[in-house]
Amino acid sequence: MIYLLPFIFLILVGCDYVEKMFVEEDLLDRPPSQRCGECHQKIYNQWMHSRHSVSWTSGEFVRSSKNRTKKKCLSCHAPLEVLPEKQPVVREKLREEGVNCFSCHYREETGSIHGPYEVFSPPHYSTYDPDYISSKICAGCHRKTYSQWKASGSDRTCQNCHMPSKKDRLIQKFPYMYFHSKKELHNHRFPALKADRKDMELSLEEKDGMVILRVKNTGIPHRFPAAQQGNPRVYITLKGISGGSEVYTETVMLTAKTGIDYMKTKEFYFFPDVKTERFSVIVERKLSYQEKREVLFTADFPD
Amino acid sequence: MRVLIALLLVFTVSYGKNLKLKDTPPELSNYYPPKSGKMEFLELMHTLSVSMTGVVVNVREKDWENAKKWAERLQRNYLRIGEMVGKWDKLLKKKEMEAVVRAVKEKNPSAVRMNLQTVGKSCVQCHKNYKLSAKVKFHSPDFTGMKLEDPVSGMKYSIEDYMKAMTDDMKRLKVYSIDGKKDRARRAGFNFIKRFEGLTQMCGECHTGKKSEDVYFGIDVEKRVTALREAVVNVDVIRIKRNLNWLSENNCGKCHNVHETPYLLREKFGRKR
Ligand code: HEC
Ligand code: HEC
Ligand code: HEC
Ligand code: HEC
Ligand code: HEC
Ligand code: HEC
Ligand code: HEC
Ligand code: HEC
Repeated sequence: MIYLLPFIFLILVGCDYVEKMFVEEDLLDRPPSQRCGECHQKIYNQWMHSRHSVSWTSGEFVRSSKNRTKKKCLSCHAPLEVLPEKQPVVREKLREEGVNCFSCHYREETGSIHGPYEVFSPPHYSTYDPDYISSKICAGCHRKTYSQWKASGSDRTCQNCHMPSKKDRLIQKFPYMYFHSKKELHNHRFPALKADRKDMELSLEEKDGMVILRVKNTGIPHRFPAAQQGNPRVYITLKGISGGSEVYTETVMLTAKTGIDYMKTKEFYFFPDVKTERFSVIVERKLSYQEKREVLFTADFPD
Repeated sequence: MRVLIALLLVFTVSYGKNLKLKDTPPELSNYYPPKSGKMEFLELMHTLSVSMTGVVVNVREKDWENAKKWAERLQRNYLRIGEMVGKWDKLLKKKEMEAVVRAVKEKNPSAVRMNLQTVGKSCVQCHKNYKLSAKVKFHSPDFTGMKLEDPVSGMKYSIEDYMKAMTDDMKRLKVYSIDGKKDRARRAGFNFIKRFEGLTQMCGECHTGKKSEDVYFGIDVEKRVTALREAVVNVDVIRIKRNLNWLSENNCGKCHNVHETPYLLREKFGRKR
């Protein structure tokens, strides 16, 4: 029965009228994200747990922007409108929401919500926009990462990896959710992901009392670690093991400036001044906002 | 000729002894970050400057209506200097400022010019005394409280301690390699390179974009570091020295000129603002 409702309307009053009748005006007036969450509950909850939602309130950001007084730091952390490949301008209201729903989806130019689908969305006008399935939509802010990605020639977009998808409904509001078919729902938690053993090719060479570790980034189509403005670090530790116990350990640190580009190899020199039987390599990281290191993967030599 | 230069030096040095930098009144810092969200005082100055031009241009063109608008704006903003920084109130030529507005209303160009000149002199006088101090205090890099993770120990260091540790590695590398102590030279060399590359942690605190970073950590520096690493591996004294010297000149030295010097000057005004 409920399915019939919209059709009855359509027949009775015509498409145009229905569109206007169900429009909730405030949705196109840059409302708080919670308002979008009334229908897009799943997406809202994911976004709430994403770094985008804390980009204005993050302690490290507040500190390093000198209490947000460095003007040049604000635009990407509380943008008005995200356009492909353009650095945004800072907005005035709701800055505490950081990179929020309307900044990524609402466009002044069309006065509508832009997204990756052709949809029937009575509460707000929508515009199908192919930029949303392209890395370009991330490029205005993740500038350095985007140019590294472009240089990599990868055919996988940022969204392919950082917005993994599942078939689901875009809205969860009863009963309207049943008027809409399931589609690919892209994870709005924007997970940082973790490099694993398969992403890096490791080899070890012993020479002249030194150990040369070579690490090739074969899996991540941008630098490892990657950053625009933050300060993520990767730690590569070499442990020497002899007679079952650890006799040597040394760590090198990579920053977003000295990290490993896609399909590039970096050499690390270690200088164990003791005899060792086996080596173990531990790769860890600390993202900009993390206090402690976390292990990404380990490798043993010989295997 | 040499004598002349020497004399000139003595002269400039003794003259230099008179170099003084007057500190700005403490209230001024209320109008700069971090206390204010904007460079409020500097913005006021730009408004003053534009208003001044507004008066001059319109008086010259005899557009008295607009001249009045700009004169009043100039007066309003000029008086704000004293409202913002109490100690500076007495430096203002308020009477002459009032006279400028009156002269514009009376359409008297020569009276405008005369009084405006006096007001203008008050601008210049204050700039002579305080502008440089303000530049140093509010526009130079501020490393206060900044911490860097030391890649060797894994601990957080102040910039000063980090620099000291890195310099120490550099000196040890020179000494041990000259003395032929290969193992120690290598360890010092690898630690130096770790710390050197670790400097790149901090640029993002203040700079956006890649261009500034690349000035001290671009492709040339990368090549030198690779060459240095090779020299360290082989404990090749000549190449170690050559590459270290290049880095000192092109990285450490240049970065110090731009960042350390103004920062040290800033510190002279004290950390508390
Ligand atoms: C061009 C857009 C842009 C500008 C301008 C910008 N940021 Fe960011 N910022 C980003 C992006 C994208 C990230 C996420 C990737 C990363 O870690 O760099 C980020 C992340 C960060 C992080 C790490 C995450 C966190 O919250 O701890 C900090 C700190 C930060 N920015 C501070 C600043 C400061 C300070 C400035 C000004 C000097 C600034 N940003 C200017 C885009 C920008
Ligand atoms: C950083 C930008 C960004 C933010 C913030 C953001 N989105 Fe999205 N959103 C996208 C992109 C990009 C896509 C398209 C993903 C794809 O198709 O690959 C998308 C897709 C969608 C879709 C279509 C379904 C899907 O998952 O593809 C909906 C609905 C949506 N977003 C709603 C929201 C809501 C509601 C919020 C706030 C809670 C939000 N978005 C926040 C970038 C963003
Ligand atoms: C009253 C319910 C409701 C609210 C509130 C709502 N939407 Fe929607 N939205 C919909 C419906 C219905 C669709 C279509 C879903 C479908 O076809 O599967 C939709 C679709 C979308 C799409 C996909 C558009 C496309 O072309 O791909 C995006 C993006 C989106 N909404 C963003 C938002 C944002 C941002 C807000 C808050 C400003 C918001 N929505 C608030 C009901 C709502
Ligand atoms: C308006 C600017 C902006 C746009 C557009 C944007 N981001 Fe971000 N992004 C940021 C900022 C700022 C941060 C850092 C937030 C923080 O941690 O404080 C960030 C952080 C991230 C992170 C790190 C998450 C984590 O947990 O460490 C990922 C991944 C990410 N963004 C992916 C994307 C993708 C994919 C897109 C395109 C669909 C995108 N971003 C578009 C500004 C943006
Ligand atoms: C093939 C999958 C893949 C693609 C495509 C990809 N990334 Fe990543 N990205 C990763 C992995 C894996 C990591 C985690 C590296 C690590 O372990 O720290 C990562 C890390 C990041 C981080 C660091 C998170 C943080 O908080 O420091 C950012 C930011 C980021 N990616 C942005 C992007 C952007 C922007 C694009 C598109 C231009 C993109 N990525 C394309 C796989 C990918
Ligand atoms: C009592 C002190 C004082 C008076 C009077 C004063 N200024 Fe200034 N002015 C300053 C200081 C201090 C600065 C440096 C501010 C800064 O760099 O942040 C400055 C800077 C400026 C600048 C910017 C110069 C630059 O290098 O960027 C302009 C323009 C300017 N003043 C115009 C004026 C004009 C025009 C007047 C008179 C109508 C005036 N000022 C009167 C103290 C004064
Ligand atoms: C505490 C803040 C701070 C840090 C940290 C910092 N700088 Fe700067 N830097 C400044 C300021 C302030 C200036 C003066 C010009 C300006 O305002 O941008 C400057 C100027 C420069 C300049 C000359 C002007 C330009 O932008 O080309 C270069 C090059 C530069 N910095 C490179 C670096 C590099 C590389 C690093 C990291 C090793 C770094 N800076 C770290 C604050 C900082
Ligand atoms: C970001 C640019 C930057 C680079 C690059 C840099 N320094 Fe520094 N250095 C500074 C700053 C800023 C200070 C002042 C720190 C303070 O006094 O708190 C400083 C201070 C020093 C000091 C004095 C420490 C003390 O005892 O007060 C030494 C020694 C030093 N640096 C050595 C080096 C060497 C050697 C290199 C190159 C291998 C180098 N620096 C590269 C910015 C830099």
